[in-house]
Amino acid sequence: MYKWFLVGRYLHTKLIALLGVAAVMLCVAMVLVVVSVMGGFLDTIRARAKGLHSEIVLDTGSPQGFPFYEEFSKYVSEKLPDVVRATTPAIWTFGIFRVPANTLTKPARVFGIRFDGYSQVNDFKKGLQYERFFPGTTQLGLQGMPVAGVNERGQLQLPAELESANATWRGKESDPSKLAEFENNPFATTAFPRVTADMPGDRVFSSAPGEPFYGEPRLPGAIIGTDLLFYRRMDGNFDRFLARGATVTTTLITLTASGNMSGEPAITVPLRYADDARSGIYEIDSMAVYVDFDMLQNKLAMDPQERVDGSMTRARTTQLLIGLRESVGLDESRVQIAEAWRSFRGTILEPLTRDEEITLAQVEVFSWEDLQRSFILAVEKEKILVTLLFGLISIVAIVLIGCIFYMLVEKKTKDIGILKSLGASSGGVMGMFILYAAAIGVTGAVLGTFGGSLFVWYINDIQDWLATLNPALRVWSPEVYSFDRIPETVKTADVLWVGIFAIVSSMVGSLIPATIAGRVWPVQALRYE
Amino acid sequence: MSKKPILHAQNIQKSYIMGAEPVRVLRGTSLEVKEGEFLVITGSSGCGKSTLLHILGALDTPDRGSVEFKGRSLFDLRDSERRLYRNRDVGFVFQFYHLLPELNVLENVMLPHFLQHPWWRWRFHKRKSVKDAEKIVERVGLAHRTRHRPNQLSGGERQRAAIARALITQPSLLLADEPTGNLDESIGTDILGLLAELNSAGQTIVMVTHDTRVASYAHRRVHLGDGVIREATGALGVRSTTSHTSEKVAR
Repeated sequence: MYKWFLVGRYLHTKLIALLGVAAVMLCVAMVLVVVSVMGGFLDTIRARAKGLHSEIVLDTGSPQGFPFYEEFSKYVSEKLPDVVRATTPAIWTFGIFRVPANTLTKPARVFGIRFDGYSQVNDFKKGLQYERFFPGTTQLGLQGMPVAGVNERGQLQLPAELESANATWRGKESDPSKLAEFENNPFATTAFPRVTADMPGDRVFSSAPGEPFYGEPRLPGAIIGTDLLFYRRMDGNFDRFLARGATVTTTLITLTASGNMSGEPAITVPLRYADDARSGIYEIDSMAVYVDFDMLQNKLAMDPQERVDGSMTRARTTQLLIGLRESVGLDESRVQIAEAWRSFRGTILEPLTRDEEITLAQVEVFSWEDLQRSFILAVEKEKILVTLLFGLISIVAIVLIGCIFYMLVEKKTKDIGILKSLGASSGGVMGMFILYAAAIGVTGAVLGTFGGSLFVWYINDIQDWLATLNPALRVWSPEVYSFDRIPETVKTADVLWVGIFAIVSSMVGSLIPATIAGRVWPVQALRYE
Repeated sequence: MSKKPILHAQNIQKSYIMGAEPVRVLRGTSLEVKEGEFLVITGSSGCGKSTLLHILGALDTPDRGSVEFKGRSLFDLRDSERRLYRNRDVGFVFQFYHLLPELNVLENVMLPHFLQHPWWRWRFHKRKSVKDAEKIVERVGLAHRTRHRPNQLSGGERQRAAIARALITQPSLLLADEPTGNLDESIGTDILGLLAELNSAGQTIVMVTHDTRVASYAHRRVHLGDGVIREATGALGVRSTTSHTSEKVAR
């Protein structure tokens, strides 16, 4: 009983114990912050990488693409109905993105997608800005520019389709704060025909006197990566200078099936800014322009083209994205689909050109993990390395606990003598100091977990606050770290192992001084001055 | 006194290494303590009085010789049995009180009980322990100071608390090492009065002191000099038991 009693008493009466608690607390908080941020970083990367394309991707790795993708979609859907949920082709190529209104010009990676099909195989739709508040209104087909009018009460009003979509969203939104936010600022406006907005805000539309309308001409829609189009302000929001529906352009270069330049001049395609998309991965969001698959296929001459001899080339795509059913395993499905691709190629009886044979042979079946493996592995290694480094730094805490206990044993030598003169055993005295260290470890771990968790939960707010003091203090740059926000999730498993590590470390740190305390001879201890 | 011996030390020898030379502190000291006796061991500073007391209390081991308590040889006992002896059979009172500064008077007094019981059984013993402690604290005149810490007490009060702690387990033998050595005369007299009172109630006491005046409170006084019990006298007319190396000297 004396061990527990004295440990409890020492813990809150000894300043030196508080120093030990502080050391453990700081180490626990430090390791927990590192593990949580790095773990969150890894988890976010995995989640976003998974939601970026689809679970399975067929790709040749080159922009000239491969044929027979429609046939294989049908084939694999029929052959593996329990595995394949949805398929959709996608084309990617490189281009030059431009906003004529302010001459913003940037290199871009242009994706040709079928909006509905693409949204079925990944999380693309979740990251759209306008689609969230005006569901069902984002599309990549021909469209005019929505211009807000003024009603009889002098209020701005969008075209009926957008008003109706917004009413649907308001009817379904369960978060009152989001509704209130929208009601307070339904949309910022920009005066027609100027394109740049006077009042940048979350939802920017052009406006004009009279009835709302759609401005001509009708152009193909484009969904643009948010970071490609807009700059982020210090408060974390985007400086939305461009009205929805504004004209942007993309300049494309066409390639032949063999990958040569087609000889056609580069094509500049005028597009309407239909929406902007954020996957959360900066490398994607700062480069991506999504346009309609069929339109891009046509512009890139990847649709069936007539050859000189009058025969037709086959339609090509650069990727075929396959979404899996929920219950199936990723690796197992990848193997099944790869096998299906091999068997499908055996069913192609039509004569193939050399280029087609080569591109078909180059098609590989990847899982999303394969595609992102190098990136994910790098982050995993980084996480292990950083955790190890901070773990090593935390060994300082063990040494510190050792020093504190050595001093404590020195200081408490007389007490040890008293206890032994009253019948305490060497093991009991040793156990008391180890228990004391465990108590310091537990207290430090609890406080460190609390402090570390608080820090992680508010890490973005802290960073934003620091950035308001001095922009140079914004340590987490979205351009460097892919994500705009620092991961802020603390996992219970991390808390447990960090806490246990801290407690065991404290006990290990106290072992030598505790052994010394146990060996103290009572007479020597009582005479100790 | 016709009572039976409770403690018997035979030919105790003890040396310390001080610098290069071994210093023989005890050179064959023998001593017998009878039940209910108040024995005072006097001697000059550094003569080995405290060492002898520590050996009698199994806090230290002799180089040679034996100590028997109620017929059992202390240094043939296992460690655990010797701890039990220190915890239950003897009570120590030190010159510098040796109270734990983090505990209040009551907790200091209860300390031997804390040592007796593991935490999971403590709740069965706590009530009795508190009751015993309160009783003994009251007996030594500290009932009004139970919640005070040692640094809030006077020297005499600290010594009373130390005596209460030594008595909580109702030991057969109370060993007091210069209990008045750190107190002024009037408070020292109080403490000696308390010890005499305890002895009157049947408590066996062995006290070492260099102050010969203290001997008037005892049944018997022996003198330790040159490492042996050199003289012995019964202050109340009781003859002491001395070793073969001791020399009987009339007071």
